[in-house]
Amino acid sequence: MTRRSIAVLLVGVFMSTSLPAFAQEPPDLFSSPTTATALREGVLATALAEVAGSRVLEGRFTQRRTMRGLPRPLESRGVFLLVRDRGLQWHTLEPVDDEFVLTRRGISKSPAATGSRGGSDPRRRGPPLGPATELLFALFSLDLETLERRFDLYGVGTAEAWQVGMRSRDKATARAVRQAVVQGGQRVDSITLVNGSGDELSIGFHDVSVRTEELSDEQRALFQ
Amino acid sequence: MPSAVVLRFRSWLAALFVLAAVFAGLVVPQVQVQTDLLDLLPRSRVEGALADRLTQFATINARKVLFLIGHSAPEVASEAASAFADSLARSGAFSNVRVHWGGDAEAAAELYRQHRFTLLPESARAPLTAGQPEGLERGALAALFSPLAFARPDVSDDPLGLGAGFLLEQLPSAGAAQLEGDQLVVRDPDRAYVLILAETVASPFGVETQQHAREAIAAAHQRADAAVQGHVPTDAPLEVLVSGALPHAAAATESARHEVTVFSTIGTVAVLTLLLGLFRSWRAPVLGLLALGAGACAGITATHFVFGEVHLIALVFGSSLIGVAIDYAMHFLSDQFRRADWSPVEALDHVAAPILMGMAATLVGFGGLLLLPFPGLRQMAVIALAGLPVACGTVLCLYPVLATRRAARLPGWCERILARFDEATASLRLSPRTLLVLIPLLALVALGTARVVFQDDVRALQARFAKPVEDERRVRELLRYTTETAVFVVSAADSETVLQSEERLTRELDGLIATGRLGSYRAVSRSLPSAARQRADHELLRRYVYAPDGVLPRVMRKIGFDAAAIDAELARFPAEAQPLTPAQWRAHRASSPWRQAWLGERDGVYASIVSLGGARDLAELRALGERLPDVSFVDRVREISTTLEQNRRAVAWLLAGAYGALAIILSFAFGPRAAGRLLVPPVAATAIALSALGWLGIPVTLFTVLALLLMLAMGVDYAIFLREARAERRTALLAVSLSAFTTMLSFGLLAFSTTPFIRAIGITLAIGIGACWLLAASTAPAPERAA
Repeated sequence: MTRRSIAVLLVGVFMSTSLPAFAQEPPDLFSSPTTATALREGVLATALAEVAGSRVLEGRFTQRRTMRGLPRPLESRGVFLLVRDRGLQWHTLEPVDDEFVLTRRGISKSPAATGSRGGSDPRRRGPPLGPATELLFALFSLDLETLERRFDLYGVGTAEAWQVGMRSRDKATARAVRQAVVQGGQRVDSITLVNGSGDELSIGFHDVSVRTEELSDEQRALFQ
Repeated sequence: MPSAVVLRFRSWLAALFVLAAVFAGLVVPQVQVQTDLLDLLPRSRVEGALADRLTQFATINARKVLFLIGHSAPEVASEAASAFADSLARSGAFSNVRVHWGGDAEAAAELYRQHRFTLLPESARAPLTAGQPEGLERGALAALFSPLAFARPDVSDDPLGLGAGFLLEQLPSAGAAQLEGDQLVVRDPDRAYVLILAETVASPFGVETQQHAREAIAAAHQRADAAVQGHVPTDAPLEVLVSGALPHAAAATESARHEVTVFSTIGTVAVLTLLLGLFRSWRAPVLGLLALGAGACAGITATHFVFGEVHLIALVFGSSLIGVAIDYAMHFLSDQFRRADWSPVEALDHVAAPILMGMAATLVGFGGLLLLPFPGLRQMAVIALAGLPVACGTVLCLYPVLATRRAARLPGWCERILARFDEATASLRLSPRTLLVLIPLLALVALGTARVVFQDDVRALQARFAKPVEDERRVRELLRYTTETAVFVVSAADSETVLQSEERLTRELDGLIATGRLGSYRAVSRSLPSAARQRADHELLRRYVYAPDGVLPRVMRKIGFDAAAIDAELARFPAEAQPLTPAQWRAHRASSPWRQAWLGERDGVYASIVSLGGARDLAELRALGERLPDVSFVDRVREISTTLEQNRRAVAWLLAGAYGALAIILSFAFGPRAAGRLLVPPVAATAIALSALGWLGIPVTLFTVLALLLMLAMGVDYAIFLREARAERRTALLAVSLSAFTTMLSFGLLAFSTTPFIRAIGITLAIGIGACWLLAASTAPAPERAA
């Protein structure tokens, strides 16, 4: 897997309908250091193999943000479309209608959803979130090489039920993502991130289906 | 020996000792060598109190150096950049070294929190002013529920993201660079580059500053390398890109220093060897060196005391005066070939007058440079006006005592060359056969002259060096950003008017940015809005945000705050706006990144500077400056280019005038026919030099025209001398040829300078003087054999 390609979008890895989202990591996860190679050849082997033929997958997500100073966690749900080599469309439906498209070139927001002007001009590409965005992308696509550069990796479980933990190595990354846990079996079931202030973001994936047919023109335009 | 000669000898020697003492004791330890090309150019024409503030702004801007530290692994680049910046800051050669921008963001966040009821980010002001608070509400909710905003802190203090928006607009404009953690990072497909900004502690054009900076950068590079040793992956080396005035100035200094050394060494060695060969005595080159040394000391000393500094480029030019100054020595010493029983004292009677007349003509030419408003040219003029008379005086006062007669006649090789040259040129008379050659030559010259192009762009005068230019190009390409040298100056009688006028300007600039005609700008009113705008923003907040059914309570309700918390937040909103005042702002640390742009008050005028990045069309901006009140567009580059053009035209007229005056004077002295004949060499040489430039594709600038003026001053006497001394044509030919040879040699060396305008002067003079010499030799009247 090269860092440059989005081939790393491990399509099948996301597919899951069964396992409960937001499961707590077992206490021994972060005492089991590992490497990208070990993961690829070990617990993730099945999940990665499943990916090979798939090209497009879509499904629903539930998201939960827990933040200091807020009376309760912010919960939202929506749908996503992940296209290998292209990018990710993330469409929040509830409680607010908002959409963004993440590609290697950056983030674009649909003008209708945010009122902001989208476009390829870097000034208008939304807030410059830098490493957070890059890491999000690497996490969503399970780009182990990129992740291993910034994080120490940990892993436990079996090919049917595994957890991969990450802890940031440098301060700049730690401010954005201090720790991450990805959990799954045949596919990724959930991702949980903790930022520098201790705020938490958990995303669970549901009803994920693989599509083999080509993208519609409209969908393709999203990732241009 | 006549007592007058001895007296002159003693007094001149005493004077030279004083000069040497002053030079060694006062000049050498104190001399400031300047390298800023802009120093050579006229001062800005902006009048009054603003002028020195603009200079101050430009001075600080020139000190800025931008580094990009690149590596294929972003975290390696980040760590290396921190080490690099740390080392730079400790070196003492740089100040304000910035690689972490978190402090700025914190300060701006604090300022915002203290004044959040009167401050708004542009992104929120737009929908609220349009009466569409839904846009703000939707954006705030979208951000709260988006996984992208995960890293944003302080959501509970700032649920609408207004503070985050305000902060974002305070960030330094660095083109495509984005904030990652608290570093600014820009990426290409292979590498991540971390941005560092720093300022040299003194002007980057100071030779010492350059030296310290160079050492500091090398040390920082080592530190950065060491810091990332043992990191994965370390296979690729760090890439360090440097941009700013410093690398260009340092490269220019290095090459100019090199040129001063090489040109003056080659020039000196060549003329001294010539002296040795001609006079077959060690005394001759020693005497020559004495004259040159005295002239150089005098030129540098005078420049130091008149200008308080010596410009390196003026020194490069000064090195070419060797060829002019040595003429006096040659002229004096050549006199010994005239008679077998020659004595240096009687030579004085014979050569003093022509030497003094020749010098006078040269000095008039150089003196003309004083008339132009170019400090650089004035320095060159002062070097010549002080150096040449001292060299000349050394010859006339010291040589009669120090010189001895050695060679009764010319060396054989010299005789032979001279005879050949004499025959070749003397036989060139107007005949059908010469016409056959002459007509195509004339056509060649005419065609070349027609190809001449004029250039007045000041940027073309600068030397370009491969490494800094390449770095600059990479930085521009990576950041997709260029800093304009042109700025807007906003000035008015009070600070509130300045800020309001600036806001009118930035509204227009925002429009240009939206349509892609401008990259970015930096304006104080972004951090310190006018009181009027703050009141308006307070009103927008009151009406749309802090109202009982405003955006804030609606969003707070949606994310789970209870009524009590919402009421408490609404109760904090003051009924009356309390705008942030300029005094409060200046006292706050958040203003420190803006201090350079806020010029404050002087002589009752308040002013600020709006700097620009990535402008598509400067004319559009200039028009904006003319249209808006209190706003002026200052474009130094264009200003100087215009001055160059005006002066080029003026000097061209001066040149024509000089020829006219010369024609009249020569007509009175020798009659119109002879005058015409005497003027053929310089006029034709001018045409030949111009056509050579045309064929070579070298544009004609002010400096070319000046070189033509100098050529007239130095070359006109070749023809006069050959005519006057036609009874002894060989001797006259020798004197003229030696003079032309040394002049061509030393100016010819300038043709190898890296500074384009010095090169232009060199090429023009070398070709012009050469042509002038050949033409003078071939058009001089034949020796009057009958007599």
